[in-house]
Amino acid sequence: MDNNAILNVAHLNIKFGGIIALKDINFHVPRASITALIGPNGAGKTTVFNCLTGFYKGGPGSKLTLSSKNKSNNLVEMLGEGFKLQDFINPPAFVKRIYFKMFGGTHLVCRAGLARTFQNNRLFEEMSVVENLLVAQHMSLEKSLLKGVFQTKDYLESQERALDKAHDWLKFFKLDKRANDIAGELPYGEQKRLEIARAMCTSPELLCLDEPAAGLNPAESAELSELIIRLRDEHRISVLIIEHDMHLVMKIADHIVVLNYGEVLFDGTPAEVRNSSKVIDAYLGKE
Amino acid sequence: MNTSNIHSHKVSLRLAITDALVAGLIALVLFGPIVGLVLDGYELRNNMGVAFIFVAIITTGRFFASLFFQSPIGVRFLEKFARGRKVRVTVAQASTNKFKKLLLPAIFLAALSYPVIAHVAPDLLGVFGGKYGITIMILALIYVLLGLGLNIVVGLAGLLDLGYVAFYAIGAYWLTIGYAELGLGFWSVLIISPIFAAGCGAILGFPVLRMHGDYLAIVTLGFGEIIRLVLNNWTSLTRGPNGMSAPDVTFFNMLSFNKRGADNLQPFHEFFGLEYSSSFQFIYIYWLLLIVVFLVLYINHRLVQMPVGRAWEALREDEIACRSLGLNHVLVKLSAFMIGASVGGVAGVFFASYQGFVNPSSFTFLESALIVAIVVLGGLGSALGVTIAAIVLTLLPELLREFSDYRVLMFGILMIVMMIWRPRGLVKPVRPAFESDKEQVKQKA
Ligand SMILES: Nc1ncnc2c1ncn2[C@@H]1O[C@H](COP(=O)(O)OP(=O)(O)O)[C@@H](O)[C@H]1O
Ligand SMILES: [Mg+2]
Repeated sequence: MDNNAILNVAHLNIKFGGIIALKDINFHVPRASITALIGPNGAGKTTVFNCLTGFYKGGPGSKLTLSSKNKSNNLVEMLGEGFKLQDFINPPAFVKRIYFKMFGGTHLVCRAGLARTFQNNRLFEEMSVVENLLVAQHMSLEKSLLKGVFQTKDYLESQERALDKAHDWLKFFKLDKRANDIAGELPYGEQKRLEIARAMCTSPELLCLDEPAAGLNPAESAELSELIIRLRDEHRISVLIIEHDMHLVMKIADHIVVLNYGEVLFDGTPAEVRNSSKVIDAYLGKE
Repeated sequence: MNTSNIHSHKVSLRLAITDALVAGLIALVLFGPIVGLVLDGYELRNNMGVAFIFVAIITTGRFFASLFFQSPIGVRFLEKFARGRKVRVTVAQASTNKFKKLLLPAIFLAALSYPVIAHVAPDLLGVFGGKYGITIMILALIYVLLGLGLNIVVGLAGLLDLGYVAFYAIGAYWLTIGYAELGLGFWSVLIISPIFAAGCGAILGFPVLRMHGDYLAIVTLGFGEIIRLVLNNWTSLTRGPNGMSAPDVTFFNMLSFNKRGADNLQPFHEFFGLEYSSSFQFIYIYWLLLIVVFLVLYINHRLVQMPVGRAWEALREDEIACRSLGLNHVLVKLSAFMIGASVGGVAGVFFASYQGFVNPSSFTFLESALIVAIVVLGGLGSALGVTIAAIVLTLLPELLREFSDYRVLMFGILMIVMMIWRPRGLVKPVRPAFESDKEQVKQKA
């Protein structure tokens, strides 16, 4: 286990019925760096994301540790892991388990500092661009009903802070002219950027991007890679990115994990990956 | 069938005849048993002649419609129609329109002065004059409340709740049981009712809100029926189908609306030196209700711009995205369910006190369906649309008394027409705008 890593994935495995989608995945994401997760279609990349964010539950033995917000978060426990034998002789652990079973879930992973985007855009299409970003800041907004109805000073202040933050990220992603447009009516490239901006509004330390450049033209793709690099350098965000565009991956990644048939095939720097015969075989097919 | 011909602008008579025959066959299957056989006492009377007339009308109608939709004009009409169906949400423009700002107070004043006019000059208002008119208006306002409450659950949070009538019943029975068992009066019950109904909403909601879509609809439908059955069968508490009577409404616990006063309270008309009229009580209920409706409208207006309201709408748009952004979807749904329930509870209290009596037959599934229809017609999420739809749907049957036999039929036709013509309801959805200037980040609207 690497102590400088923001995310440690150990022995992650998952089955769907009889199909083993992931078996014993081990890798880590170093802090403030860009890690790419690549592999052929159906390799299980999106499934890794879904396990990390709790949309799927990893099988027994999976360990996911997110070291963020100055503490070490056990993601599997947060997502409401099943009871273990030792819980029944340890009341505090038992209570904790019940708590996470009832109130745990994906939202806690996000609050712990891991934000993600989706392979197919999942914007709030009928809401405006700013509103999309405000929803992402739900946790830091003043939510008291009475304060909101009477528009007290701290309610308005918290709303203004949220709007400031939203506009900062809109500027960063070059969407500031679009603030009051309906999200579903933006061009595809801008929707992709908006989804990343929305994820950034949750103040994450680790950002997981699922094929952010898919469907973009070369110019947009280059612009996007620029932005991801700036996220790492200016905002010290750790990025885990799934991408098929090898050109982009080789340009921005500090570290590449290659998946194939639900297993880690190779783990190394871009130069190492490029020269690995295993990876080339997996991509081009042997014989 | 029609769209296949859009590009070859040629009218095919054969296609029109097939269309007409298919429609005629369907009509025959539908109208044969419904219109053709009339239950007369214990016997079925043959009325097939009428059924055949219906079928003939439909067949010829379909024939000409099919011909029309194949003609160039019809094709263009269909194309325009297909384009018009695409939902277009817009963002509010900063409105400095003075007329709009004055409209709301004007409506409020008009609504406030209505019962006075209805009482003093009933002939002026036709059906809506006099005590009867006032009671119709009260009912309309009760449906506005119910529509607004369910709008939060169905329209904003996107949770199809087919058992909303449960909270309406809970509110109404809370008044009568509170009176019979705890000796509570109208005012104490009214003030506690939102909290009480919200609590019931939380208890009913927590186990079911983990479900989605259709499952949720079925489960809530079940809950609505369970509540009605409990009210029907728990005779020691609710007196079952015999119903319960509600406490008298008092003028702020100080004056009674009875002719001779009651419970040591002076009669209202004596105190103000007016001639006794049984309308006073209803005028008073109407005013209270009007204030409550405007209060709920105001809170609703605020809610949709508050984090909670935004979270509801985001949940309706995409639950998975919401969860990935740190929102606890169960709590967000629960808050919508509770706030919706509390509005329904208040409406129930008013319903019981205006009727003076409740029994379980007022809270059938049909009632839930009517409230859902109000929300759908109003445009899922639009408070203005829901208000208009609630008023129209309660007042229209009064205006069209002669056609009361066809009420459900017309209602069905209205729904179908609306779904085709305006699937997103009467009022186009509008999002609030936010100033994009950083120096002056302020919400407009
Ligand atoms: N919910 C599911 N049910 C069954 N099989 C699934 C499910 N999700 C993913 N899989 C399977 O897991 C494998 C990996 O899929 P995925 O992670 O989406 O691949 P990719 O690397 O292209 O993102 C595929 O074979 C897919 O069929
Ligand atoms: Mg994928």
